[in-house]
Amino acid sequence: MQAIPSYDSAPPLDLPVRFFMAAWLWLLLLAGAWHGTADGSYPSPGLWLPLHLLALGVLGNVMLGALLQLLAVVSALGFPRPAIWRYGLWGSWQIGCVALFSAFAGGLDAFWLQLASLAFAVAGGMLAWLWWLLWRSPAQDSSSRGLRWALGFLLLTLGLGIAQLGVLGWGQPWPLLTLLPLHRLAAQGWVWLLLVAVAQVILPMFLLTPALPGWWQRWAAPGWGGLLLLAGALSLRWPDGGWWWLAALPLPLLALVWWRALRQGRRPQEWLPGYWRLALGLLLALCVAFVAGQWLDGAVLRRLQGWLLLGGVALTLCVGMLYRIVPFLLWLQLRRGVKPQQKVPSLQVLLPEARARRGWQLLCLWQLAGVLWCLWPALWWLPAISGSLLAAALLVHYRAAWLRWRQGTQPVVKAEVASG
Amino acid sequence: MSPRDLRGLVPPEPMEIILDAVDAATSGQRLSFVLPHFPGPLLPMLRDRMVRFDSEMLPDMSGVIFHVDIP
Repeated sequence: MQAIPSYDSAPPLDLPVRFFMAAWLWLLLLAGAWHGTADGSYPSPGLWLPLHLLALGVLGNVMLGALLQLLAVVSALGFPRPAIWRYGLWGSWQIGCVALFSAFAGGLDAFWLQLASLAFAVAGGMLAWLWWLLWRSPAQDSSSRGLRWALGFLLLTLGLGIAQLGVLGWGQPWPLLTLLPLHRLAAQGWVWLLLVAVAQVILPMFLLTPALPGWWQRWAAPGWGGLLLLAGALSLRWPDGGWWWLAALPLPLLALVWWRALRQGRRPQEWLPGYWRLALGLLLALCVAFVAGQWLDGAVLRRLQGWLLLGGVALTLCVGMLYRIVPFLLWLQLRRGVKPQQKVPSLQVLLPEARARRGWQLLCLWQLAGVLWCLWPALWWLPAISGSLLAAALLVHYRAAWLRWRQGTQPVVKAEVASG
Repeated sequence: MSPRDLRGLVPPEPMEIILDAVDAATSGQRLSFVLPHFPGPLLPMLRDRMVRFDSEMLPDMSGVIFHVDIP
């Protein structure tokens, strides 16, 4: 059965937006986390702190907010009691982040590790419930199927992460060195499969590209998910076999599919394709880094792979998509509230195009800073400064959009009061 | 009358055009638009206006024709 996208069941505006705003706050705080990477050691708690701040605090929040919105709109999942998600998922996620980052910053203190494991267990429980709801949903479109896979890998990532917290914080005798690479692999699955599912909706809708090829829509998520699981299983059986390349196998295909779609976009002069082109360039660089990783081994290359995935492709697409989606959600909320003939501010008024272009420039600066840090970790202050500039710009831009949105609703309320 | 092609416009421009046209239309009128995909976000707002709508796929599958009937 094909589900019709339904905005009737969309969650209240503040549910996804609180995740997005938390993400930019974490991006600002990330500036204070880079100094521990100056010695270039890999892996190390000094590196885990900015890595998890970026992955959980920034990307995790954006992706969870986007996931809730997308599940409602694409897969017709209802959120009849949003407070459960507002406090249960959002709250436990932020507490987990605070506790985990405190643990990494404070020498793996057991209290913080235990608190993080409990908070993420609550978040994991809620996401497992969401996954169950999604399985029960009649939606069988390719995006919904992709979201099932992505959410499954998020649960796997969380489970493996909590197991590591069990070792470090609760003294459980589990094999940390086996759990760590599997956790990394599952996290890649969550990021890539979510991007694949989201792109299937976003590219045709906002970049006016043709629909992505049918074979890609049908097979990308199960194929890639299967490869990730296979890589994990083979690595468990033969730990020194270096099977991680299996998980990176679809990357060039992903780059090709996105590139072809972008070439056929109807509005190439718009600002949003610029974000996708940047992400595509970073994706190609990541492919090269993965190929090089088969012959060369070294901390620089591993840092580069991590950076290009998280700070590169994923963050670029998150920032770009939110510059489009947040004003669209604000506009939609305003448009629904007004009476016929009443005008609402346009997207351009809510969040001017110049700001999205400024965000892109700051993102380019962030990419340059990140690559330089990968090569020379002593330059940790470069991503710290460029990241805080980017975060400050994002917070200022979204605050201005929110203020404009509030102005837009006021005349309607006054008119209704007057007529009542 | 041939349907108005809105495929080259970025959301929410097509929605604004359709809603403005619906608000300006007279009773019994049928409005038709060509869109790149089914306009999910528009439906609650059309329901609020008590209008009926239906859609059909273009023969080359490059979009949908969306019809709105003003009661």
